[in-house]
Amino acid sequence: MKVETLTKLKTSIILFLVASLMAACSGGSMEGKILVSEVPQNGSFDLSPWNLAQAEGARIVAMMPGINEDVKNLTKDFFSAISPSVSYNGENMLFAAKKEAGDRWQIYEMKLGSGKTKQLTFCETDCINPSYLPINRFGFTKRMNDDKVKECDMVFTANLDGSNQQQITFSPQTFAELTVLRDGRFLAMEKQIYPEEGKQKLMVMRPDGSKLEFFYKSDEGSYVRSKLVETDDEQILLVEKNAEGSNIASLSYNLPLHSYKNLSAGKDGDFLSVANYLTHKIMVAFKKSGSESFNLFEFDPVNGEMNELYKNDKFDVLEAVLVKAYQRPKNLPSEIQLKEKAGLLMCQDINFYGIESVRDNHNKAKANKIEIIGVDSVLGIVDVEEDGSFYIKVEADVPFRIQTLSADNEVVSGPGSWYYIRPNERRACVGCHTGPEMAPFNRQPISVRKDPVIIKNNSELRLHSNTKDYEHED
Amino acid sequence: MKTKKLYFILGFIVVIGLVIYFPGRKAAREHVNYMTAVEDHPLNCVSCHLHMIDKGPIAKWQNKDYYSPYNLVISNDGKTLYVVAQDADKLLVVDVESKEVKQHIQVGDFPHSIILSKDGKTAYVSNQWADNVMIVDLAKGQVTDTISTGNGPSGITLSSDETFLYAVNTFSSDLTVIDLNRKQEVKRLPAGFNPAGISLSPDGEKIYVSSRRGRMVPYGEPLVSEVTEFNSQKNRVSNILGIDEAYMMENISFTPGGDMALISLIRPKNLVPMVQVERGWMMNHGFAVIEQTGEQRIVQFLLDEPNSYYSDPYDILVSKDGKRAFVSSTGVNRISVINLDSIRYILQNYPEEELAFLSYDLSFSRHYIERRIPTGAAPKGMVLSADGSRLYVANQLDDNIGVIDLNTLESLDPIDLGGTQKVTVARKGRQLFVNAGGTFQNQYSCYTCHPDYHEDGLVYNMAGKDMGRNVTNVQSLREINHTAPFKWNGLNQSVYKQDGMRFSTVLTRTEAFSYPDLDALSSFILTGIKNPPNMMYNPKGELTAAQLRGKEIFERTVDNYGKEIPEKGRCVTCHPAPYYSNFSFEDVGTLSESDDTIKFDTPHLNNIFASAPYLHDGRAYTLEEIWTKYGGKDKHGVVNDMTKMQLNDLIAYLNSLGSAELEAKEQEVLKAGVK
Amino acid sequence: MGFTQPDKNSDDEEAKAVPIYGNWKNFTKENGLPGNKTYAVRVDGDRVLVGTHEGLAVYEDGKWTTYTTEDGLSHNGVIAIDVSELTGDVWLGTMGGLTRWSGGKFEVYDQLNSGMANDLVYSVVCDGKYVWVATGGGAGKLDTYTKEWEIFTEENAPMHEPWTYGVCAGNNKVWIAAWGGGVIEYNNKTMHFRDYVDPDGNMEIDLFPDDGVVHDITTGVSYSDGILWVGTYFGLSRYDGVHWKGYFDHDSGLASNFINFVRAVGDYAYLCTDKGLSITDGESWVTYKKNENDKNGKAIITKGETKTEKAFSPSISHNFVLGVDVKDDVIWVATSYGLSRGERIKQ
Repeated sequence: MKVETLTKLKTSIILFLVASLMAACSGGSMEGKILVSEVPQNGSFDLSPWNLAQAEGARIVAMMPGINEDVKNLTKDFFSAISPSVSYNGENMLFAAKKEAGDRWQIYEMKLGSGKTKQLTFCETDCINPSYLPINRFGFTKRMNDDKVKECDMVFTANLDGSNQQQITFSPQTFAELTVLRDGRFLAMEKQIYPEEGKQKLMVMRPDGSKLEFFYKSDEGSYVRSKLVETDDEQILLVEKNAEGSNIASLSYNLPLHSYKNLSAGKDGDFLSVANYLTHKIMVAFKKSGSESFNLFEFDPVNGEMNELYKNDKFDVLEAVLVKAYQRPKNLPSEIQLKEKAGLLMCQDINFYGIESVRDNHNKAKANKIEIIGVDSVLGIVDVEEDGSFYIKVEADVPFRIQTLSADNEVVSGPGSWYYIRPNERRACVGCHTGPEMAPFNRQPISVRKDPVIIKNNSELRLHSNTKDYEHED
Repeated sequence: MKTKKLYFILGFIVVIGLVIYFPGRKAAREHVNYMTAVEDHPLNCVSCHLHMIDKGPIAKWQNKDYYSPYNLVISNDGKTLYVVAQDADKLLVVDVESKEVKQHIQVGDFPHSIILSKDGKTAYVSNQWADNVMIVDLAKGQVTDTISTGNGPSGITLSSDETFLYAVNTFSSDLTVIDLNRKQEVKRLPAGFNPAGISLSPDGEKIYVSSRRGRMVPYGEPLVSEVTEFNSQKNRVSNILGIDEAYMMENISFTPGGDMALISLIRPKNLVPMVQVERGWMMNHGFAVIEQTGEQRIVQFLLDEPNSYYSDPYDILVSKDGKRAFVSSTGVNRISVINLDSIRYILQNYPEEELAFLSYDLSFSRHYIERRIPTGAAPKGMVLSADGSRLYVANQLDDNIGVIDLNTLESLDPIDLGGTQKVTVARKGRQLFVNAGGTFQNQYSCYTCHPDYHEDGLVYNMAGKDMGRNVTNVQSLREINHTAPFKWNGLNQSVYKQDGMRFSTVLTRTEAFSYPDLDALSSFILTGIKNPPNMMYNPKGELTAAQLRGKEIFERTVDNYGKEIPEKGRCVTCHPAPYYSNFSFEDVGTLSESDDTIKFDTPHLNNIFASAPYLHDGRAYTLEEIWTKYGGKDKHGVVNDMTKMQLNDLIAYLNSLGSAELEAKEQEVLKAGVK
Repeated sequence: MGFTQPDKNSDDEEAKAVPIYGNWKNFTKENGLPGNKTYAVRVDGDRVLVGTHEGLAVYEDGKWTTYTTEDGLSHNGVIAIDVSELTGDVWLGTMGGLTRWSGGKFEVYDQLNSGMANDLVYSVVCDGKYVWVATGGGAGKLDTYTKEWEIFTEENAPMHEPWTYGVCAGNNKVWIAAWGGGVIEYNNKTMHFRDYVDPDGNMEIDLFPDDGVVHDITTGVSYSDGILWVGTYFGLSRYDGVHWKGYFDHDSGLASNFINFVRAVGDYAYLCTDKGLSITDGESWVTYKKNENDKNGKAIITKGETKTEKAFSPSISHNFVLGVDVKDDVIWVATSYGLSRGERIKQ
């Protein structure tokens, strides 16, 4: 063989070996393992999604069901780590963690195979609740503070390399436990925190923060205490708690307000969280009656069987997630254009209060105007048209509420929920408090036959103030 | 020496290849970027340059012949299904037990519906593109008679004594009454607008015909579609019922006891700015109940749910015991099972004021929907088995018949009609077109606004920028290949761009079509949608005297006073054959106050008779109005010197225009011979 | 067509005599009509359709209902009415277009939205699937299947000008009363026209009797049982396909030469004139006139040289008669002040 040929052959072999080594170093697959988020039992941590940031010493472990010995602490380099979220290809994990006790929570991404992590956020306040978006981005909540509104966890999104961080919620509503639904929207727990604390609700919004709207609310005395999980058969699973105890419940995605089902009736104990598992089975963090700790169980809602999957005497299981490839959600397009300064809002009839009002034969006074109220000042008063409609152009990302007034400026209804309109967003509603189940009338509102009324704002009233680590995309 | 020469040649080839490859690739990249309006579409020449070919041997080679079952009936003994195979112009005779197609009976062009005589020996088939109904002797398996109808026959029914056959003429908006003894049409009655559905009441006295389009009204006025009621004893129109905020009423069924008539329908939100899809802001889908007793109220109900829509309801069928109704939703491949006793309860117990609002309550269907049964692709017509235990549904784009067990409400194995199994690119595109999966929460499909791949006659407020501005009339998608650019403002140079990212951002509001799907959709739109033949105005390609006079006017270069008409004022300048468009941009004096100042892409005029209303915002209900009402300053052609007779002749000519392939070769702009 | 002689069998004499109507009941704005000026009347089964200046008034089950432009009518001035025997649809000629009323819905055809020549529709007749109109800008023929119009003016038909006042159909022909153009006949089979003009030219006197239509300023045509009746402003003509016969107020029982409208039913022609209503079989006449100063009136019965009178109280509503229709033994008369209903009485 000629010398040259031999040299080429050797080079090829070396290259092949190097490549194989690199592949090997990327680590083995974690497919089929369960990632468990757990917190030390003896802490004073109140096991509630609203208090996740207080979880000290929490960790995320990986375990294979049935093999208790093979439990690996994935986050041993961190003081505390919570909220695992697995990517759609099953290869990576987002989580919130702090390296040292006094650190702020930040978002990290770990390659599950190799365990390598990368810090994605460098916030001055706590960043938690990470969740993968369909393509190359993720969502999370960041703690914001303002003169008026304190300790508000707003929703942000960013690229998976941490760049292009964008705030997407702007009203005094705090959010927790982000889930990305199959339809591409965020589903999250939400509470109004200003001017007074409101009742917890589940809200949906598009990943650019537009079209924020009500999804579900528990009955009086109950509240949702877990992250929401969407199953393959269009159900939303959650844990709901009340004075009597807690339940695993399901809602139909198609009809969330009228499809509540208690899946764990008769189970004696306390549920903390729920997750997808195998076909017709789910994982639950559950503390049996008389038990000391929350452990991880496999639960069959049909026959009620519960089998323990994981237990650690020193830790309470907060939540778990199965490592596998998932059909990723829809990657929703965005009409938001950050260079625009305003958005548009239209209402068909402020004097229509929904089908309930027809049923109950409400006899409210007629409203002729709307008052647009910012955080602590009135942004504008607008006469509505003869058909009760209005069409306004509002400064983007400025929170406001609306109340309706009579001709004599008496308050007829409201103020309603907080709104904010994203730059270039177009938004519309049927009437006041008509809810998410009311389709519009097919009629052209008189107001849109004219130009929109422009609502100008005093920009000092903006809610967010932490501008350093927050960039607009140009 | 030889080796050196070899290396030299190889090197030369490599260099030439590189010289061609890099700039060639760059040019290809630019070309593809322009045509697709994105920068990362794969450089796959085949996507466009093979799959968009609509003529010739290549087109023939890459397309397949499908059956596309549309409607069907079952023999009295329940053993045989008769299936209209619309794309094959055939009636398929299917043995239910063996699930085999036993016979193919050739019928007319683009068959639509089939019914059987009471004794089950005779079938009647409407051929929508042939303007006739055929009588089929089922024992012989042959067509025995062909009877002319109006334009575009679709739904058909027999009188209770079977002396008359009624055929709904969808394109001419009337009802043909055929005397079966004389085997000819004896009269034609007005029947709404673009009607299709027809049903005889159980007592045989009344016939309902449902319209697919709403009455033409100025934009902003309420949408109302008609159900025409006929007295079947006198064969006359006895009443017209207005169904508010609804259209696309494809089919009707009476309950066996005759207490209700049910009609499938869509509730469009065309008067509302299209700023969101969630909460039912684009389209809702449902059915209407027309009470046949008491006050005979009309009450509408939705099939939809707050986060899930049942797009494009087509057929509606009532079980033999009158307790259930079944609705096929073509856009979501589902059959909804409706509990009619619940409907009856609601009608009897809910107050009037509340009944009027039920069709806005997206959650209300929970009170009467029992089940949603998955079907094959694009479920259309349905029929019950003789004993009522099975439901058969034509899965139009799967070429099979779905079978549903009505005891368990579960699907059984379908009946394969034995057609081609290969799904071509265009066929896939058709499936995408008809499926609502490309819109947020399946709220509507392309087919919803473009029924029959044509247009729905409505004007919408697309609200691309501001609300309330730039309202536009839906355009037909028939034979639009070679007519780029697209959209009224001509900003879309290709169907790719039309249906690409911006489309998903402002219309469908869900993930944009993937590139393979966009390839398929474009292929179907550009190659797979044909114009029906112009049976009403130009069936044989021979112009009448009036049409010929009209052609002269269309091509004229001097006015009635002998004065030369400027080139821009001649019809033929902007509308030359064969597409009757020069694809340029013009201001024809039709901008309204709510329009942005733009010039319009000159529309092509093939089959223009079928595209009312006219102009960009649908303000002209007839072709005449384009000039009598909106042509005042001669900006849309020089017309004001014309007599009414001349205008009539011009309209006659325009009505005669058919597909481009039937028209003359491209003509030059004619020069005035003014001395 | 052929010349017909009335049957002189004395047993059927009464039945075959020109009917006499009495028991008049008059309707005005006071008792149900939307206005007093009535232009046209047509019996349609159990209901009576009346064209008024203020809309279409419909009398059914003893009650009046009025339809106007608010309901979709093309114009409130309804001056012509016909009902299609084939479809049952009502076609209304108005001062602002043609309207089809079918199943309760009004559908408008006018010169802007269709191929119709002119919106002033003086007369309308349904002939199978076609609807013919006589308008101020020409006659028109609508094919209700294709919605296409053919219009006929002096450019393509033997008319002197496009003003057409009346149209009727029968025996596979259509006749148009053309102002200044006599009668234009259209043959449905050949699709050709011919005209019948006054051989005396523009003379207002009938120089040579029975030589043709009495005058070219024709105002109405009506065909029945083989006879075409033609009303003019200068007398009445009768044509049996071969022979013309003229009638004037000075030599017959005709109320006035100024004939506004003609309707032929069976053997009889009903002539609406400016001075009363006349009914004739071509030989005998019954003419109804109202007294000038009260609501009473009389019927003047003319048989050959014999004239008798019968008093009525009330009589017809007004002598300026614009429209008439008859069904069975009931007659409806549209006048410029009110609508009259009469019943056939024994002679």
